[in-house]
Amino acid sequence: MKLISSLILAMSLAASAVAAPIDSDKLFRPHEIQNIKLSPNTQYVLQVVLEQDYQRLYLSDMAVETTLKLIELPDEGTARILDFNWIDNDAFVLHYRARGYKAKALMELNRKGDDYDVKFRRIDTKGDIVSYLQQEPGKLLFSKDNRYTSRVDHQLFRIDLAQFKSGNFENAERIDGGLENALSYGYDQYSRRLWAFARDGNDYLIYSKTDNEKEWSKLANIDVFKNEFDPVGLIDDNTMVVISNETTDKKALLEFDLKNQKYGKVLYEHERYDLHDADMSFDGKTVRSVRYFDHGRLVSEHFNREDKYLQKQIRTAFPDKQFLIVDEKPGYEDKLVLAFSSDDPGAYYFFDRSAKQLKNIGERLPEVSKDDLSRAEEIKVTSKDGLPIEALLSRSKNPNGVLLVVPHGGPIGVQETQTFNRETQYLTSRGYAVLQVNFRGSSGYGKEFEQKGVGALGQSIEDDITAAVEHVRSQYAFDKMCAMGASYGGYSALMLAMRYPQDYQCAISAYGIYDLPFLYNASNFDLTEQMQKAIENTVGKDMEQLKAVSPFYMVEKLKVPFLLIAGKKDEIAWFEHSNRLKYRMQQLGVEFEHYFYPNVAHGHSSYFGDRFEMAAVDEFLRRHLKLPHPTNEGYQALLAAEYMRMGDAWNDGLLGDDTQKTFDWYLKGAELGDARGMFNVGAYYHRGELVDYDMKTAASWYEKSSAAGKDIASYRLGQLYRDGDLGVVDHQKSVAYFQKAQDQDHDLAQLELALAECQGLGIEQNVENCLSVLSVEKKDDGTSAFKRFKDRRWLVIAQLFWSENLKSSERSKLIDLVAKLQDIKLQPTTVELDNWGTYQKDYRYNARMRKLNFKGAKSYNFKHDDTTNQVKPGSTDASFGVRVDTVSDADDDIYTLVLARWTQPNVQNCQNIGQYFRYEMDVVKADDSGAYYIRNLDADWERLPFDWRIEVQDMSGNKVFDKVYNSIGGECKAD
Amino acid sequence: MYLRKWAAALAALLLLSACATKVENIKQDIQTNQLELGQGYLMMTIETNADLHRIVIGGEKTIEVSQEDVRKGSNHILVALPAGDYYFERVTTNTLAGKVYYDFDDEDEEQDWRFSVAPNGISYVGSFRVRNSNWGFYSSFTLINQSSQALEYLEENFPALLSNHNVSYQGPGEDAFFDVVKSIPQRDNTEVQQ
Repeated sequence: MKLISSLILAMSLAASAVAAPIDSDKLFRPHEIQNIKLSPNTQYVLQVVLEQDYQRLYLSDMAVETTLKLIELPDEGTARILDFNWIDNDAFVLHYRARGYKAKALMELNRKGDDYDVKFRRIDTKGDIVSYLQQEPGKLLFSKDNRYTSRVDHQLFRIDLAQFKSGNFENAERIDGGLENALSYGYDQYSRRLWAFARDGNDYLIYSKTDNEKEWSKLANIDVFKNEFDPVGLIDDNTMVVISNETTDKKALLEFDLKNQKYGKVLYEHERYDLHDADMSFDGKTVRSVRYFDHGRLVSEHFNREDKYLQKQIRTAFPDKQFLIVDEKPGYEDKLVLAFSSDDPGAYYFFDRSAKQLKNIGERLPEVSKDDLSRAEEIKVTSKDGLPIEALLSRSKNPNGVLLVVPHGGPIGVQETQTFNRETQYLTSRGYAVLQVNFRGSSGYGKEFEQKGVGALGQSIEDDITAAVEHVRSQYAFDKMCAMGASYGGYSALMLAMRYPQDYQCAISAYGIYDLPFLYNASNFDLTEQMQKAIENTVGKDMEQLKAVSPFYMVEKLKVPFLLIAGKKDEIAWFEHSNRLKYRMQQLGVEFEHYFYPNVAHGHSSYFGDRFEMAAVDEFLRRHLKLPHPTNEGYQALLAAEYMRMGDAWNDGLLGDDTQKTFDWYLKGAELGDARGMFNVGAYYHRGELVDYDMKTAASWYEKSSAAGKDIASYRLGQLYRDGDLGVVDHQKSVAYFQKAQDQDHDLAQLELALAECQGLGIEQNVENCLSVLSVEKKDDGTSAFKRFKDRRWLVIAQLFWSENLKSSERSKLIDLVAKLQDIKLQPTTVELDNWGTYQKDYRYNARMRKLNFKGAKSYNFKHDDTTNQVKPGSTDASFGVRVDTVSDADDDIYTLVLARWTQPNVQNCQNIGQYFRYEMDVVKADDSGAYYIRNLDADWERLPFDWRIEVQDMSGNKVFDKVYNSIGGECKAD
Repeated sequence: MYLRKWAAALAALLLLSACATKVENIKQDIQTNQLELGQGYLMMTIETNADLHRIVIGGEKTIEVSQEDVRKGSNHILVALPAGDYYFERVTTNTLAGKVYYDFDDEDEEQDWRFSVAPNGISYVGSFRVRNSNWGFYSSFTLINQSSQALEYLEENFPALLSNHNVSYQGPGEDAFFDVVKSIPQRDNTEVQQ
């Protein structure tokens, strides 16, 4: 986290002509600043930041410009900060999730010189803070949640911090028993008025009461399906200010008479655009500002002189950007400002008004270079029937001659704006131009404009798009054009390609609707009156007309390459739309490609999904339009990463499981030098999966991967040289690779080096150093890395007990280490053989018995059979083990160790097959409370055609069991 | 959707069980016409996120889809029934506290749970989806039209049956899918003539 940097009001924009394809890992990711708020006196900025695999909470003191990290949570862990709210200038409530449960804590700041002591206290009181009471410092309005009843049940209290901490509300002032069906509460500091929002069927209910009133008054009852009704504030006891379009064409700011439930004076209406939102003054008496999108650009209009002046000051600093004041506090002039544009993901600034300075707090996507981004140009056209249409054109700084026409979803009530669009920037940075059209039906242009879109699917909506396309093509030269979109945009893209095959060279449709009459009958829920009405209000009800503009009924009209994308869990544009289109196209021999995601709904819920999909889109476009790849430095690595993403999607991932496709994409990635790709391909040869088992080729890929910086490849090579899997045991090489893996930050390499150091293999023996590495304390942060480390350390210690290079005093130290790690008392105990034999599957389940698991096979249960030590290679019955008992009269809290080792005695006869070891160390009760199984041999299936030897020793090193299991006909032969 | 939900008393279950006939789900393709006069095949999918106890279908004949065909996942149902009108009557789910049944109304004004079985053909009526939550104490139900997926299933698993019988959509509402895919449009041979 950088310290806050200051910048003066007049900022200059760095311009650069060099643009490069953006790495989708840097683009498709959450905003780095997830949440940001000012303290009540604006001295502090508190922010939740995602950086370097951690979620961190920072406190910045704006007076002295210092930043303190309060909390750090690993991304992979189970804890997550959800929100926070200031209570006063020295305390805030933190809302978080830990191990799947939501929780909250009070964080109190105690300043000590330049530093802070921050006290964390978990609060178990159920409910939410409605508001901190500005006029009564240290007091809160709290909505206590009674979870013992099935209905929503809240009681409202005025409490102090002590009551909040203790949860004891016995002496708290109860100000209301709660309102039935209330969804949420609010509080207006100045009018001291409580608000409650409730829902009853389609009706949205708004209630209010002052501190002195006993009963709630119903202020409004709005049918959410019928009208826009967005309350802004109350200017007096009977007059609400709302944004509505019930009596106007545009969403306007109106007075609403509560007593008569009627609209009054229009306070503000824009001649062309709907209002987006509005603000009241802090005292709640006047409207302070309204906002709307002018050609997709966010514009704020202010009504008092001071605010107008403030806006002018900020606008001077950001002449080419849009901005929002995201936080400000009554009585203080400093503000938190977010500035952004179509070619800027946005950055937060602290506006120190007295110093007339904007201090940069942080970027939302700091890793994306602004040089690579494209700005949207405003396009105005007139459609075929004379309707004025607005569009946005984003041209690449390195154009490839392709125009992508990207209709938006909806089609009713959705609007393209000049905010930062990740998909557009991904495409423009790779050479494409992107055209987005606010066709009829789009929101933001009034009711009449929106209404014109109803029933205009496949017709005048596409005429609007075509008018914009023709205008753009008359201004700029494009060699090729494709239509692509999602939801309604997916439908529209396909219709454009069907209607104008001479203009479009391809189409890509995702999550679309393709059989319009089917909208009415996709499920019996869609057959309800309310849904039928909603569908009718979007597509119209002329079934024959709907058929005439449905791709499903005319797939033979598609003459260009087509990519169909859908989520099988989609319940907005039901998956059936895509599947019946696919069925019909296959039936009629229309060529197309498709990606159907098994667990995706109406779009991806993960950034990985977005990254994959854009990679798939780019790959499809380049292949069919025969486009060369960009030549920028570093592009090859980006392309390799895209191929790896495609492989990941098929590797039991987004697209299901297809080993061949996974391998093919990984190989393409590897051939372009992707370090992970090279490792993965090596692993296929290592396993002999899809390709012939070939350790030389495997090692060759591992070496390339290691050289390209892949830690696990270096680690794997360390293992192969240590275990002789490459036909020779070479401890020096092994140690060198483990050392390299450690330098590359492999978290287990230090354990392997310790193993070598304890035994003096490939490195000078240094038991003390080895034990100090093994005894290092690790905090359980809930990550898989912690578990991996813990498990591997255990096995390294287990292996060392079998080492002939350790003295008995050093063995004692190992025992002490195990006792310390487990926090138990260990004592040598007699361990006796109980029985041994083979395991067979399908034995009747016995809960007391342990299961044996083999890769590629089902579960096994123990069946004792000591008549044979013959194991049939490759057989699903080829499973074997041993059972021992501890015998002593030790106390209940005394434990002992049972140590087991599996080895392959004849394996040295085989070329390029290394020794396979498996060690097991188990802590068991020293008393004779039960029998104990030496558990499963989790070996690769292919290794079974060899004889196996199992040895068991007790903690003192006494042999308890030693037997060779012969494989039938599986004698190892050199070939 | 309004449903009458009851914690099932054993006696009530037994009473209803007595009236409902357990039907045999056809698992193997059928080479010859085995329908009796006035019969048709009902085809549907039961897709549930938890094992159900059973589903009772009322109408022309009261039938029961038993436990083994209402397990967690997708269960394809293909049964021969007297042609006529039917509706989903009762679904019994498993909860921590025992079995709970939901009664459907054949005149439900909200959602339509009715369907038909046409004589001599295969009547696809939809995918009956059950979503259980809160350890089974809350369940929601939807009948989803997945005609193309049903047809793919029949083509893969019952090709002979499909070649001998007409398949049609007989669930709530109307759908032209099966009629459309029966027809193969004339190829546009303009380019060839040129």
